[in-house]
Amino acid sequence: MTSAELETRGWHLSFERMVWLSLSLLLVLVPHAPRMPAWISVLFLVLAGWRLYAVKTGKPLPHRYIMGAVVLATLAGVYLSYGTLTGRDAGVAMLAVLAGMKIAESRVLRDAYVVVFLGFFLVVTNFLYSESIPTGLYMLVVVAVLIGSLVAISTEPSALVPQRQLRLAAVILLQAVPVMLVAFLLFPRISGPLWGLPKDAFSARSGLSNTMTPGDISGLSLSDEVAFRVRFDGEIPDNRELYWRGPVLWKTDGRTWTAGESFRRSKPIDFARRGSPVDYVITIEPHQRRWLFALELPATIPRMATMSAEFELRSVKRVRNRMRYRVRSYTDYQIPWISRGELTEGLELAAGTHPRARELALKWRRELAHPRAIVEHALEYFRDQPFVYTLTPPLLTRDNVDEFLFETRQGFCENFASAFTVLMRAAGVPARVVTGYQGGELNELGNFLTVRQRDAHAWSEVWLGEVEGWVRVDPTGAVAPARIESGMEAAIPRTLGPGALNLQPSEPVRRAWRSLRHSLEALNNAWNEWVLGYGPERQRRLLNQFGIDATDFTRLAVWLIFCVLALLAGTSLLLSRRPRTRDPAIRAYRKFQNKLARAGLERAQGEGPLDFAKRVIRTRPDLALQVSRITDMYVSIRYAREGGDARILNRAVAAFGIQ
Amino acid sequence: MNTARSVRAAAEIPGPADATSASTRPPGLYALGPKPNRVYILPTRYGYAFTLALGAMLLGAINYNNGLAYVLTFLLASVALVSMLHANRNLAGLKLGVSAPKPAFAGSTARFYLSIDNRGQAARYALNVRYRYDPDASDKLDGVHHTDLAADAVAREVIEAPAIRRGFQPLGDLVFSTRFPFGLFRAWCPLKIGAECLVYPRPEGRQALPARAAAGTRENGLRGDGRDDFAGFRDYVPGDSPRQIHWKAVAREQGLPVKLFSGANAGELLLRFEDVNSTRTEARLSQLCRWVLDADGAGFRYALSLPGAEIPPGDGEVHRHACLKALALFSSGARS
Repeated sequence: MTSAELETRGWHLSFERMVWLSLSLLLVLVPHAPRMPAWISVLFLVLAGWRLYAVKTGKPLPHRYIMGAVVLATLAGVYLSYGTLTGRDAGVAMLAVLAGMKIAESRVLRDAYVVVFLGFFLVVTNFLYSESIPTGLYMLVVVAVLIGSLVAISTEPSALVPQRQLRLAAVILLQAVPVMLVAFLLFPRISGPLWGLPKDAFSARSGLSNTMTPGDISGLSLSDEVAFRVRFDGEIPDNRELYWRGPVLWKTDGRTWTAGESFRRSKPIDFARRGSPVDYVITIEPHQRRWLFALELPATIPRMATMSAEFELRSVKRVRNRMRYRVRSYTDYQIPWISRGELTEGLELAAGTHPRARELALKWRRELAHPRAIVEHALEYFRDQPFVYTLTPPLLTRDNVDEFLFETRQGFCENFASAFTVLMRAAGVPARVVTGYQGGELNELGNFLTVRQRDAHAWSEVWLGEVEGWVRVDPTGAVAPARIESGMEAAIPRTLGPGALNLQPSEPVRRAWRSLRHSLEALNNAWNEWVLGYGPERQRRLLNQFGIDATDFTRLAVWLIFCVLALLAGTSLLLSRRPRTRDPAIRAYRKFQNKLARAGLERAQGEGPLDFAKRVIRTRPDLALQVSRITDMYVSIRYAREGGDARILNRAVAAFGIQ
Repeated sequence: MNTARSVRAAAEIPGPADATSASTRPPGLYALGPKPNRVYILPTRYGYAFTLALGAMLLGAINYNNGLAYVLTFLLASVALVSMLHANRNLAGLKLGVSAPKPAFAGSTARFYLSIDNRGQAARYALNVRYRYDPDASDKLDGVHHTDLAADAVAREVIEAPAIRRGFQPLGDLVFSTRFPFGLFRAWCPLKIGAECLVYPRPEGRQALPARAAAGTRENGLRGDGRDDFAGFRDYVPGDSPRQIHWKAVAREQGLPVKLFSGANAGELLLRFEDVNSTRTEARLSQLCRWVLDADGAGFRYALSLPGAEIPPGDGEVHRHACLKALALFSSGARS
């Protein structure tokens, strides 16, 4: 029999331990519950509840054939629910089911450990769905409960009541934080994935695509999800210059715009620039596509990215993880060249579409000589006619440009951009649609800009000849200037509360709400930068500041081990401190002892206070009065029935001094 | 060798042992932690399993580039490391006092008294004290005590081991261990404990006490007729002769009183190794042991004669102990 077996002989799964185990698994499964079919949650509750009842009443475990049958049935159930047993969602469901089964059949110490370890794994699976701060905090609590379970199952016998077990778990968690931080910062980071990820590893997240159909962008505009965050080195440009360039669309079938094929280069394209550059770092949320966004017009290309002739930035790999990149842009620019292919492509329209729009455009072409005049005229047309900028335009069923231009006249940026580009092409002015984001919310606390999905935008670029080149024209700005100058919120006010009531919050409430949201946003940004987005790149830059070369893994490992050992030594010292006693009399007496010890009079092991006092008085008769007074007081407080006042003792000790 | 052992005798810690314990092996004070009683620490198999689980989590964190999975993995690893410190702290600094045990008869129980001193220190939980019933047995007959220790407290533990053979029975090595707080690490501290319990032979044999010699004469004395002066009662102690039990009182459920007789006019007994009707040394020693107890119980003065050892006539507790000790430590090799 090994030592461990001998020492754990007689271990049994008590009701209290069972409660610990079931409760910790229940807590870790709660966030999963809405993501799983209801029967799995019910099954887990039934299994855990049944086992608790069985432990309480001393009922035996069911026959293992019955348990085996239940396992097979639930596996079949998972397969039926998900159509697979692998992948993220089905995998989590399997783990949840297994955890329930393990609880139901737990008997020995090993089973209890398996349950707790399963619990830790289930904590990790939660992070595959959410990495937000609330998730992190909740899981910290769950981890504390799981560690409390470890105390409960391993400590035998125990004077520790459950509250103290939980407290001990929390204390050890706190003591573990410094080592964790060091490991987090110094552990050599490599970027994953190491192997293929399940297809459903990242649920589809909304974002711009490389096509544009009416309804695409207005669909996004309801989403508060963050697209990317921008930290500027210098001043933040004016809102009306914040055009974040994304996919450029050339081709149209009359309804949907798509990108053409274009040559991609790794060297930045030269263009005429004026004014000072804008330098900034973008932290982009994973959107599963390759687009990277940059302020118009980017003059540099981030690492691992390319640039097209239309100045679109594309990542070499899909943006699967939060990614940071640095770009330099010039907001005052000119693109004074066009290829022959672009010249023809920029005038193409799908055959037989938009007859009324073409007619209008041809009229303008006949009347006006210069392309710039045509552009001005078109913008005037948008301003003069009763166009309305709205998030919920009426459904366009026939020719969507004609219908929008001449009948409904209500639309979102995509309708304006698409109609304007069609008009330009019909009038003989080469034009293209540019999609991306416009504006962003300034966060004064963090001095950064948050660009959300609802800031998605579409505008046009027209070719105005060799001198002016490609010029950005935003027809939405002609209709709703607030959209461009102050952002989405100003253009389409949001309402709090149910839409039917249409409650308009008062100004102070709105301001308070805004500042709260900004603080949260700043916190989120720090969390994203330092916790979620801490990868090889960030590690390298951080450690460089301390003169550590993060690419040298051996060096890094040495640093890591050194720091961890140093911290552990510190923690060990902390643990070996004498505990602070609650008894004020003992505390005061210890202080008294320490004062004497400094004078070379140390109390021997096992020497009683009275004997000690006698010995002290023998060597230092001058202290006799004080020493005997303090000792008498201490002894009477501690041992005599009538006791005494510890505060008086404390004062006497404080006044006690040795020359 | 046995005599050499009995020379060292000084009770440093007053324990439950009585005056007779002066001839048992010395007690001691042991501090856990500093040399030579180092505290060792190693992961348990659950600790190794935990390490594997953490490895899997780390791979997951790398693969999914999941920041929070990194945080959790490192947090749990740190928790395990800190728990190692706690396991060490749970043992280190403890002081163990072992007091001299009372002699026991073979076949009864040897009791070793430990005091575990935790004064001036924080509480300790789930301590295991492992000891060996019979240090010479090939199969490990180990016993384990579980205990908690409050802060600033002293705990007394009694370790009971079957007294198997006469002679000195060592307590053997004690192992203090703990798997506190999480059972991922086991800290342990083996202690070489010198304490030994003197084990008297098992009192056995049905041979009647030899005849008493008249005062002054050792030979052809008459056997005591039991008509000595009655001196009172005392409680039964193992080894008392059943003939002296006051059976009427037993019938009245008044405990087990033993009649005492004043030996003022009793003759002296000579208990001789050669007088026992057996050829087996152990049987002879057991019979002698029985006789010593009977004679002592009856309040006789008696002398003991063993090959190589003579104990002059005497009576009382100290004399009885001297005789029993001579029997306990008798070795055939010492016969000359």
